[in-house]
Amino acid sequence: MSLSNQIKLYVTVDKLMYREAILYQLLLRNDIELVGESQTGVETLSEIAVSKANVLIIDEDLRDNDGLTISEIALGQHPSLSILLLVDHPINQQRLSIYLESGIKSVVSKTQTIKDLINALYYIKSGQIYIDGEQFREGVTEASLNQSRFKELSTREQEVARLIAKRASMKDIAEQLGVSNKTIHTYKERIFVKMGFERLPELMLFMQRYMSQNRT
Amino acid sequence: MKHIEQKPVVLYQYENDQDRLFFESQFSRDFTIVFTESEDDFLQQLKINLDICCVFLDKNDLQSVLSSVIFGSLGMQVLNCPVFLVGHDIRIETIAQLLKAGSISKCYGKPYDANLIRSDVFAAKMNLKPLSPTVSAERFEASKMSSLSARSMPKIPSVLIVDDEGLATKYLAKQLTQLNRDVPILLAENATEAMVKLDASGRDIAVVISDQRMPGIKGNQLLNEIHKSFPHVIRILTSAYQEVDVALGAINEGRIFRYLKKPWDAVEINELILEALKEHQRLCTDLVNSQNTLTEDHDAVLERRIAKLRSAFSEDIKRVTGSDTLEKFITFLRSMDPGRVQAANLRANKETDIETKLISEFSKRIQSWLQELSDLGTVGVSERQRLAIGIVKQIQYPSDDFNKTNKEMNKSDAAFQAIINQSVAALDVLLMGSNLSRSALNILPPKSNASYKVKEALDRSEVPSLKMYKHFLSPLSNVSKTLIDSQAALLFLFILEEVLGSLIEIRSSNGEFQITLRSDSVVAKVD
Repeated sequence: MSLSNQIKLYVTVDKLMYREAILYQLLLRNDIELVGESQTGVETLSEIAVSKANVLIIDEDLRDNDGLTISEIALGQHPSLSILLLVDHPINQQRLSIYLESGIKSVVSKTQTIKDLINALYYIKSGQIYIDGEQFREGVTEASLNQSRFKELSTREQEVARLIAKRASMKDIAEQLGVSNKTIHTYKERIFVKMGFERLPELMLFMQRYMSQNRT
Repeated sequence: MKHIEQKPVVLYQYENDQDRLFFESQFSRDFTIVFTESEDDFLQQLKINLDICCVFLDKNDLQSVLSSVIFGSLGMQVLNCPVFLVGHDIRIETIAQLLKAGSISKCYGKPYDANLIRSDVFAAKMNLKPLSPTVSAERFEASKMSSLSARSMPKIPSVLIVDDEGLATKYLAKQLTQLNRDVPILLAENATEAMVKLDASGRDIAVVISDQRMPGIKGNQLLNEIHKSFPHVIRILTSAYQEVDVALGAINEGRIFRYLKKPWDAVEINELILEALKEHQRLCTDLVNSQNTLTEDHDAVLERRIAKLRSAFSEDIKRVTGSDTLEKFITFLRSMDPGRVQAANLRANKETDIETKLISEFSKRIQSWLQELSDLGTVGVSERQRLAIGIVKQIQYPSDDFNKTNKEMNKSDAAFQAIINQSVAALDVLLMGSNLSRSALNILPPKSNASYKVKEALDRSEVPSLKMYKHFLSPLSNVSKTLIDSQAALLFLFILEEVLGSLIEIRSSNGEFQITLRSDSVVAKVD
């Protein structure tokens, strides 16, 4: 039982680089505490109790046993563990219902964004199931969503966004546009809030992906 | 497999056009929404529309909701899906009354979390069966022989009251016992004590009444935890304060039965306890019945699976080994811990092609080996020794190159080496499944060597056993590569056992197993 809303996280992913990439993102958050990590399901089973984890992220594709089997065993011993299963490809509702009925709280595909993973993590920590309904929707993608949001920024905001993405300093941008430092900081905050970004790399990646065609 | 990927169909009853428009704008892309305004329409839709997976009530106030036809006898008859309340002005009294009137699955305050609502609707559409609650290992062993019902029903259902106000609680307990001598009342002063009592009592505690404000872990958190760990315990939250968010959370996450306002009235609580005990009884009976059904259904699935296994491989394997090796394989698997049957397994069996896939994937792996092995022909004693020696050598000296180029090896040597490679690979697969290294293999000199008999007994106990978490005869929800790999490897080794005689042994005990290799090339125990 956790006193606070702290997520005590255990991560089981085979490939080191992938595991680290996820962890570097997750550990930026104050309310996530990493209590253990592993490459194999067997090791996870032996460590999960001692680690006092309340959330487990586990990859379906492990070398020793598949993630679903390990999850079922873990749940047998710790029914209050919230488990998020990472899969290689998006799965249909039928497969999803089987996983959820096995006790998994959420399934996230590696084709989704890290944000989707983090989102799901927060929903399941209380023990609720989380299904990302947006996956089943036709048409709307993250990309088109962000692009339309960018178009809604003012011309000034768009300009500042481009410059920030090019790693220009606040001071330089202020000079270039002939306004104060403080103004630029305000712009930056507004841009990040409107676009739904939390950190600079997100803005840079967005610019690289979607704006290269539209660069003026 | 009807309408699996269709949009969920939800029945939405509203009073305000504005509410309707907003709901539509939020969710029309995700659901097919059936809008109704009047009670009659609502009831009508419930009766005729079989695709409806859940119901939304978006009404102006408490009275409207309570007077909804859903809570009437007519409504209760046709209602068989979750009810979600979209609330405007939700107050504590509302919540308490709502829970009394009928079951509300979720209660969303405004502004709603669209992601959460979407998730809950999809979950409703999937109609997920709850997981069977865990029975601790010792209790399972002890009660394996006794009936399922005896195991699940509490001997004397009791009530646990969790509150830090010691005196008031003790007084209440006294009053309750006077009103009803048959129900034992247990007390705990905080969440930790409560969990200790629950762990100790096993199935005897049927109802938990917890106050919200306590030092340390709060009532709603405790009930949430109990919901996860002891899902059949009926949960009731009480509070003297108007904490609407807490109550909503307790409904949505903790799935509480009732919300009780303080100050307590012993008579009222006594009646509530009686209701709660009835509900508990109902849940337990449901659990027993559904678990029995699950087990029966799965036994049938298993019989069919074994029959398919036999018809696909029995003859082919017999041709290679000359005996009923497949039966040995099946008997061995039956001695392994099968794992619990879950609703998910039956769902997978009914709705996916898992059984066919299991056999076909397995077949692909087995058929190529059977070819290799049959090419070997009947194996004489010296050949068997050579094979055993070859396998042990390759295991002990992995860095040596055993695969000479084709030019150097003649055809039969190459075939021989292929079998050695295959055997080592199979052993590695099984070791990997338990995350063990090759030191977990018993490598010993042949049985005839008398002086090693005592040493052998000692050696065997030091070596860790291998486990099999899922096997061919387990309840399965999917066919994973690791499952096929490990089961094929196991069958291969059984075939090898037949060919090599006592030079390889696979023995199970207590749901785990050990593999022993014997070879003349072994002089002393390998570390």
